[in-house]
Amino acid sequence: MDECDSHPPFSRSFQAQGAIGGNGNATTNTRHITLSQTFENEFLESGFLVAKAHQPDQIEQIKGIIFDKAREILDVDSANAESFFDNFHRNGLNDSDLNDFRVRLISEFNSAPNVCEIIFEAFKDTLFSLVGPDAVVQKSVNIVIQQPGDTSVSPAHRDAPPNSLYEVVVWLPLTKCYGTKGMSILDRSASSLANEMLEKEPPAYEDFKKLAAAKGTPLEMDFGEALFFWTGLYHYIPVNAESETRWSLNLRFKNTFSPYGRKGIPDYFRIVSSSPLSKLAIGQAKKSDLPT
Amino acid sequence: MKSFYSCLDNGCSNTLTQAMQHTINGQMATDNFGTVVFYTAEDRETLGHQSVMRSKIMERPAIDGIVYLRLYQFCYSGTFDFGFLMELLDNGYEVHFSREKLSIQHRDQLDELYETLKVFEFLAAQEQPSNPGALSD
Repeated sequence: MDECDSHPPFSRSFQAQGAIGGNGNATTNTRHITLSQTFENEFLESGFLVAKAHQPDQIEQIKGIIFDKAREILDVDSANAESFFDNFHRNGLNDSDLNDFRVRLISEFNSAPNVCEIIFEAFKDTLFSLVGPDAVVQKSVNIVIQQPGDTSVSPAHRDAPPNSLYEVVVWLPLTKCYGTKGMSILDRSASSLANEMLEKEPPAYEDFKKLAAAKGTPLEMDFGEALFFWTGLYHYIPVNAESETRWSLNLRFKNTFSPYGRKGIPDYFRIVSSSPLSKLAIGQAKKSDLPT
Repeated sequence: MKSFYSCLDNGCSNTLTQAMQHTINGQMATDNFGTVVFYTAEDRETLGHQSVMRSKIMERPAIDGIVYLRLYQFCYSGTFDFGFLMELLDNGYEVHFSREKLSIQHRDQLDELYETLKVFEFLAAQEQPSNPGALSD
């Protein structure tokens, strides 16, 4: 058992393991990436895992883009990204101004070149294992800012339906998450119980809320880690009772050729990676579809 | 100010009324620096061949392009009609799709988008009803 295998997936993160190539060495270009069997089993069991970025520089780059744009929009000087994010609430924006700021930040961040590709590269090993080399990504990355005491939080919910059960959600905190400054998730077992409650006629919604509060696993995560969870899991963010603001990104990936939910391609997703085989097949079809 | 034809989709008019489709395509025209000067729609029988729009284009109207409600309007025949899309582009017309917020303004762009459109075709074919005219959504 390697060191990674000894870590519970929701309290400690891991690096996906590159299988050894023919010469006994894992190489950048030829390695076959797989989750270790233990973590694959854990993901199947719980429906989620926390993984460290394989390319930490890429995540730093994403954080830098957001930091720069946020400072520019607010017209404030700040040299330290961590302090800026954690103490964001000290800017004193009211609800309306905060919403305007967030909408503009999301728009400008998603206009920056290749942000989804950078995130994909940062977690490529894990994403290859979960969805395969033919992958699509949500076209627009969401940015969530949760200031201390902000009661504007979504109730516990799952993404599928209307999203596809063949999607994985990537939740990427830009700040350290602890206590209520994080996210809570119901594993497969608890989500199944939740489904039973909501499928009753009428839905046992109050029981469901109690279950979510009792069974939600609060996640403690560092910047540089990401939560990968199945769209069938219920999740929620608690009211942030800590003294720091939480910043996080979320986006969804799926296999290009797996079933879609109500959100398709190219309205919601776009291609981020193609396997060599798909490239050959598409290239062949193109010759007859688009003759020169 | 650019001028566009708006091509509504009778295949989904049970869900999106014509009035709603006018609003959506009108906004797409505005987003692309133009306005809708004429609208049309295929009959249920011509959805797959786009006979109505083909006929209008043969008149070589002095417009900048066409705003479609959605990409699926090119898939009613069961495969993506790359031929007609190329014909529109080769005749100098821009082609816009409101649902997907997708604009194709020249042939080079079609080359770049080909993989995405081919995947769309693949997925659309899996949902293709035996009788396109019976589509309600």
